[in-house]
Amino acid sequence: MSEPRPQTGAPAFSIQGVTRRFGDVLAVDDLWLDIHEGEFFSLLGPSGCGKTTTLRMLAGFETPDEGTIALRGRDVTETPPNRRDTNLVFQHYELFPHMTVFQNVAYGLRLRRVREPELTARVREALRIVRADELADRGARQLSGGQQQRVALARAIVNQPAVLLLDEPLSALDVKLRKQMQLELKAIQHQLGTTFVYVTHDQEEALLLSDRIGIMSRGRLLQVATPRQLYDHPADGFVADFVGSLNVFDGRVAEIRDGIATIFPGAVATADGGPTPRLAVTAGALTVGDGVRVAVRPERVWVAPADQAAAEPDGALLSGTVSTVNYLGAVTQITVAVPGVPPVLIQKTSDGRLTGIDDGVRVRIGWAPDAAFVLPRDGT
Amino acid sequence: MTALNRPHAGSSARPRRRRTRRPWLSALLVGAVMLFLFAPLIVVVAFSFNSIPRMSLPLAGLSLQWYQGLLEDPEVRQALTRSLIAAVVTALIAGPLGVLAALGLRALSERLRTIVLGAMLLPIVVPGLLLAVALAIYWNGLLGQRYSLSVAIAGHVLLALPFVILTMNAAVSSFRFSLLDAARDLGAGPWQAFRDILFPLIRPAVEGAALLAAAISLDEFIVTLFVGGRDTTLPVLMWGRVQRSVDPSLNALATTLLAATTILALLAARRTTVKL
Repeated sequence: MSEPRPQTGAPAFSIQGVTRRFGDVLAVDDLWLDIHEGEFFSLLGPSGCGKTTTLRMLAGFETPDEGTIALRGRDVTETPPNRRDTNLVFQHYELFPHMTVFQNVAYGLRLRRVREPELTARVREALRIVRADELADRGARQLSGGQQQRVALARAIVNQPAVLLLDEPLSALDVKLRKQMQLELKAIQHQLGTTFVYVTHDQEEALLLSDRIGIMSRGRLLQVATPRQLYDHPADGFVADFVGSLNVFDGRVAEIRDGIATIFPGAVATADGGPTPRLAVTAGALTVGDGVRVAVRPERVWVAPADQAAAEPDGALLSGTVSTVNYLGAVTQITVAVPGVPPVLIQKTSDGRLTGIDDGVRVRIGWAPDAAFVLPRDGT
Repeated sequence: MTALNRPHAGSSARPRRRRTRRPWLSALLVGAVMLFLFAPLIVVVAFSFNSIPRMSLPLAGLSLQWYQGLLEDPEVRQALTRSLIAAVVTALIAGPLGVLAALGLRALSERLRTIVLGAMLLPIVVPGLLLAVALAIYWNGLLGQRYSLSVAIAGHVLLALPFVILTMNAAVSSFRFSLLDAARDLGAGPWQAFRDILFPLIRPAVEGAALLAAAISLDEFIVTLFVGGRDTTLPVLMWGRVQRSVDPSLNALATTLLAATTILALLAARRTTVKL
């Protein structure tokens, strides 16, 4: 029924040095990437970063100007979409409006000359997997957005492609439905074991769904990593900022002791007689005197009223004034103005420990050295 | 218009212009225009059912004798056959050509498309007489074809094509071409995608355009007169008979033609977005 799994360890997709230009615009710039068999891989980036163009090249709708694309070890660079063992779930579904749901899902099988009773059995099975079995006889025009999305998914998976390509398939749904469909997509991928290549600009979605994520910006692939690696060890400032929020400080390494670097921020200001402001980070390859850019996630920064603060001896320590407190339900976001550095964003679970943290209150903030990381200085 | 008619006319409020209180006046105007437009047609239709040959009102009685006469007239039957052949062939040629033209236009850049489309629509504004003379020179003078129904049909296609292209261009412009991507992705070759997705979805417009072409062919007169040779169609036959004398069978003939073209045009309009 389905094709044999590849005998060798060839990746599902091997993209080698692929470049695609539109006029003067470099949509995709020298992309090298292997997508493994059976993984959920996401291409994540802002609009116009080249992720959709990349996906369309994988589907066969665009041809690279340079480089090659291999599907399970076979060169498909010039192969048209109808001769590739891939299926695409389109952003706007593209269901055939003159057909019923059943006919839509059956279309790919009919082209492959799959006969009854196998045809009906496979269509029913695909509709069952996406939980749309009761829609089979509906016209494609009579479906809600969420139903269209399920049918579009069924129409693709029924062909049992080597790789399923998904182009922001959930972006047209409302938030609640999107959250639900994310979980279902993940479950379906797990159940089928099919390689998924998923394009999205939603970083939370990518983190939730993916085994690995490739971050793209301006046609370039910046980093490929697991969600956790991406979040904790971003390759540069763009990645760090795109995957979650980030506080960034520039400074110079003043001292290294026990593998921990103490850093004085660029403009050292000890205005109010508080402690000397200092940043801290795991030293790594840093040496004393280096100019350095230190980054820390908002949820890794602690905050306490100035008179109650008890800093770790070798942690970061800054003094400032609370400028905003935004209650977001489960979490609270606090912005603290610190002289000489950009405003610091802090995110904490909304609980009793935030008592006394209000607008205008003088506070100490800081973080443990291993909570921060160093970014290249030329990073965005 | 008077102050009395203004219910809440405060001193500061500007008097609002009221809609006319005299609907009979507008009804009269509309009626007059309608009468001017339709009186000749109504007269022809009415007299086609008259029971006596004399054309004077009121009608003497109702009868289908003039239609009966048409059916028994070999000249009329021959002309009717030719007219029907011309209409069907024109529809079958102009329809597919229009689809191809509209699809081809899509491949052009926006600027070029506007220019080419404009050129394709030109026959609409070129005087019919001029086209007829040009067709005569082209087919007979240059290509050496004898005047015949075939040459006339070539002329009908030329006249119908702009309207067909206009209709098909509107249909193709509103077609969602990403649906073809979806078909290609599911394994359809270009031809299969056309057959299974594009054609079924633009089919009403194709039918409408073909019906329109048939209607245009059916009552085409000038070109047929010039290049049809001895292959007389219904309009040309009518013209010949009017030259001799106005006899009541003409009313029946005219009514038949009127009914046929009206029905074709209505069927066409139901299928297309370009209303005529």
